[in-house]
Amino acid sequence: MLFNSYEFLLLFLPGVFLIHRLLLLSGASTQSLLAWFCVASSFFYAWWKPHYLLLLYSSLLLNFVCVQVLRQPINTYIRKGTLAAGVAANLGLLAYFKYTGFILTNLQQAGLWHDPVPNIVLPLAISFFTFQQIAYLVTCYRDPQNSCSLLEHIFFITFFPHLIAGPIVYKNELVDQVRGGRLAAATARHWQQGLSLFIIGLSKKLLIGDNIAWLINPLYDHGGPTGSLDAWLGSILFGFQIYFDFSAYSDMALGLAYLFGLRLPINFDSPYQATHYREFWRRWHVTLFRFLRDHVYIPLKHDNHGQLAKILLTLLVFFLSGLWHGAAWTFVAWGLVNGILVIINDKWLLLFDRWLTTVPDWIKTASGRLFVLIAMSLTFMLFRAPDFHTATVFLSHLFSAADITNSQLLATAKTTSWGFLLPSNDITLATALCILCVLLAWLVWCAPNAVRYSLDDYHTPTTTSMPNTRHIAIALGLLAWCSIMAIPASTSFLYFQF
Amino acid sequence: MALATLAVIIDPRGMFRMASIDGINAKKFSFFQREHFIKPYQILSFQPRTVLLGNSIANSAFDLQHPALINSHTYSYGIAGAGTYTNWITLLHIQDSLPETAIYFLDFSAFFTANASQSKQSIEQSDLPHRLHYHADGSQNHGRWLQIIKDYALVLLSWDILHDCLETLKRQNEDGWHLQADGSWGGGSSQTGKPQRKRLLYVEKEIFFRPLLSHPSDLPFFEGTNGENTLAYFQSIIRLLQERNVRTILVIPPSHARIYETLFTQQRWNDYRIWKQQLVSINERIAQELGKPPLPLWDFSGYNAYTTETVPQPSDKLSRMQWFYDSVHFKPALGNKILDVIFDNSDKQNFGQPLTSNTVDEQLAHMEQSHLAYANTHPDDIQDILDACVSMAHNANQCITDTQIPKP
Repeated sequence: MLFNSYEFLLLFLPGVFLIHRLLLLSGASTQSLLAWFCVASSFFYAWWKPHYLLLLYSSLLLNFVCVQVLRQPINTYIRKGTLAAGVAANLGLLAYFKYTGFILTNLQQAGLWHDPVPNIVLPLAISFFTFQQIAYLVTCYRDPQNSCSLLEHIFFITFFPHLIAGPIVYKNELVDQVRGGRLAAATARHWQQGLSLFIIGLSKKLLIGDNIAWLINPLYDHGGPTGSLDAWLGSILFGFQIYFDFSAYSDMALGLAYLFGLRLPINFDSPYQATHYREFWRRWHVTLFRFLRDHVYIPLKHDNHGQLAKILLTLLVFFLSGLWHGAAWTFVAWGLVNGILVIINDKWLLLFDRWLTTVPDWIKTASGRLFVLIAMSLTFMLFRAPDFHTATVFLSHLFSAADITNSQLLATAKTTSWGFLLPSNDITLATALCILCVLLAWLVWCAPNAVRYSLDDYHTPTTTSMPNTRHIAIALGLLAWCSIMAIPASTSFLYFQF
Repeated sequence: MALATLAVIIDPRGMFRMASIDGINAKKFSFFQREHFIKPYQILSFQPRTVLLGNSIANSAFDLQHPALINSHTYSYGIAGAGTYTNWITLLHIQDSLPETAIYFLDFSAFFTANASQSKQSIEQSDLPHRLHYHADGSQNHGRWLQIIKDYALVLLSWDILHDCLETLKRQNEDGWHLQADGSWGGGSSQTGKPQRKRLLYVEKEIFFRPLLSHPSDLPFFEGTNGENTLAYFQSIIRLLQERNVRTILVIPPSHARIYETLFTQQRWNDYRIWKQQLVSINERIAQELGKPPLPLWDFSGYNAYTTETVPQPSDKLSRMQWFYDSVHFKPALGNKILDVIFDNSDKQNFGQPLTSNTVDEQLAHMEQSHLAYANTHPDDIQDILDACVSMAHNANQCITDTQIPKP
C-alpha cells in the first residue's frame, strides 16, 4: 500500500488512527496497542501480495529464535555461531530474492550458466527489515539483556510508517518509547504536527517529485539525450526528483509515527544544504549509512590502520551502499563513484584548509552547495540510467551542442495536459526549465528542514518552528487538497523498490 | 463540490452518460490512452447487441451507421493498443451479458508479446484488471469495488479531470478525434497534423519496429519471456464466443503494403505466415471440439488497389491518402467496403476472401508474389522502411539493410 493512494489516505490511516484512539479511550494496555499495530501493519504489508506476509513472519520468527538463543548463558562459540547463522540467514534471504537474477545473468553472460534465469519477485521492504533485524541480532549479541518480547519485536520491525522504505530503525529507538508509554501519550499537538508533516511530505511527492518524474522518464527510458540541454537538465532534474521523492517519504514516515506519539530517527536531513561531499552523505539516507558505519566500517576499522586502509573501508561502505540500492552494475558503479568523490573531497578540504579559512563563509557555503548539487546530480544520473550505455550517452553529451530542436525533454513537456500553459517557443521553454531548476535549487537550499520545522520534538535552537496559526492551517489544507487531486497520476516512491 | 459538479455536467470521459449538449460536451476528446478506464464502464451501461472487438482499428475504421450495423445497437469495444490478453479480459468482463453478434478484428501487431504496453505483465500492473468483473482465469473479481471508488474519485476530484473538463469545453468546435457514446472514434478527418508519409513512418516504427527489434530472437513472436502466449488468449476468446453461441465474424483487416514489406525486408514474413495458419487452425480446431462450424474468418490483407495506395512524397506536406490514415489505420470508407463484403451486401471486387485451411497457403503464396512486384516498383517505400528500422535499432546488426529483391 502506498502512502500516496486513496486506500491509504481515506481508509487505512483513518481506520488505524480511530481504532488506536478507541483502544486508548477504553484503557487498553500497551500490549493491546502493540497487537493492534502489528495487525494493521501486517494488513498494510499484505496489501501488496498477501502470501509474502508468510515470508516476513518467517524472517521475524527466525530472528526471534536467534535472539532467544543469544539471551541464554551459553559459551562464546555458540553465541558467535548463532549470530553468524542469524546474519547469514538474513543476508541469504536478501541475496536470494535480490541478487540471484543479477548473479545468474552475469554468469550467463560469462558462459558459466546455461539455464534460463528465474524471474524472482523482490518482496517489498526486504532490504529494510533484513538490515533492521541484523542490527537487532548484533545488539543482542553484545548485550543479551537488551532484547524484547515477540510482540515488541514484530512491532518494531513491521510498524507501517517505516516498514516499506525506512528509516532503518534500531530496536531501542522504538521499543524504549513504547515501554516509556509514548504510544498512549499522543496529544492533539502530536496529531496536528504529525499530520502537518505528512501533508508536506505528500505534496513534495505528488506535486513536485511526480511531475519531474513524468518529465524526465522518457529521456532515460528511450536511450538518453541527444544534446547538452537534455544531458544537464535530465541529470539535475533527476537529482531533484530523487531528493523530493525520498524527502517526501521520510517526512511522511516521521509524520505518521508522530501521529501515534512515536519518534523515528531523521533519515533525510536536507542533504543538498551540505557544503561538502562527506557532509552530504551524513544527511542522505542517514540510517542506512549509520547501519553500514556501525556494522561494517567500525568493526573492520582498527586504530593501527593507515590511510590506505581507511580509504578502502570507505570504498567498501559505498560499494555495499550501491549494491544495497539495486542489483545492477550501474548501482555498484554509482556507489563506488560516490566513495571516490568523498575521498577526493576529504583530501581537497585537507589540502586547502588554510586557504579555505580566508574565503568568506557565504562563498564557501554557496560554492559548496552548488558543487554538491551538480556532482550529486551527475552521479544520480548513473543511479537512474537503465544501463551503462545510457549513462555514457549522458556523459558524452554534457559538453556537446544543446540540440534544442531534438530535445526529448521539451517534446515531453509539450505533451503535458497543461501544455497550453507553457511557452511554445523551444528556446523560451528551455529557459523556463532552467528557471525551474533554479527555483528548485532555491527551495532545497533555503527552505527549513520540514521535520525540524513541523515537529516539536525535533526542534533545535537554530530552527524555526511552524507557527500554529489559522493561515498555516488553511495553507496546509490547500496543499492537502492539491495533493489529493494529483493522486491519480502519481507513481510509487523510488525507494519503494529497495 | 464545484469541481465535482463541473465534472459530472461536462462528463469528459462519458462516465455519467450525461446529456450530450452541442458546444458543451457532445465531443469527448479526453479519451486517448484512457480507453482502459472508460470502456469497461461505458459498455455495461450501453448494453450492445453487436460489439466490435480488437484494437484502435475497431474504433476508428468503421462507420456504425452502416446499413449492416445501424439497427444493431453496436458498440466499438476496441481499446487502442490492445493485445489479445486485453481483448480476453475485457471480453470476460461482459460475459454475463454477451452481445448477439461480435466482429473481432485480428491485427497482427496485437499478437506481439514484445509490445510492452499490451503485454500481460504490463496490463496486470495497470488498473484495468482491477475494474473488470472477472479475472483472467474466469473467477469473479470481488475487489473491484475499491477500484470503482478510486475511479470515481478520479473523475470527480483530480487535476486530470479538471484538465479534461477544460479541454472538452475548449475543443467542441474542433474536428479532432473524439470518443462517441457508442465507443467509436468520431472526427479524424482533420487535414492538419503530421505530413502523410511521416504518419506512416511513425506507426511503422512504434507498432512494428520497436517490438520486433526488442523481441528475443529465440522466441516466437507470440510467446513472451514470462510464458505468455498471445495465441492462447485468442483461443480462449474463440472458445468463449463459440460456447456461448455468439454470432462471430473474424476479420483480418487490411494494412498498407508497407507493413507487409516491413515483414519481408526484416525476414519476419515467416512469423506472419505462422500467425495466419494458426488463426485458421485454432478456429477450426475449436469448432471441431465443440461440434460447431468454424467461425467465418475473412482476410482483407494483401496487395490490392486499396493497400497499395500511393503514399505522398516527403515534400508533400498537405496531401492525404484516400483509404488510410497511416500504415495500419484505414478510413471508414474502406471499413464500409469491408462491412459490405462480410455482410454480403455488394460485389466483392476481389477484395477480401474467406480464410480456411484450404485457402490460407494459397493466399500467403499470392502475397509473396505480390510482394516481389510491389518492392520492385516502390523502391522509395523500401528505403523508408530500411531507414526507419536503422533509426529504431540500438545497433545496426539488428536490422537487415541490404535487401536484394528478386524480380517477380
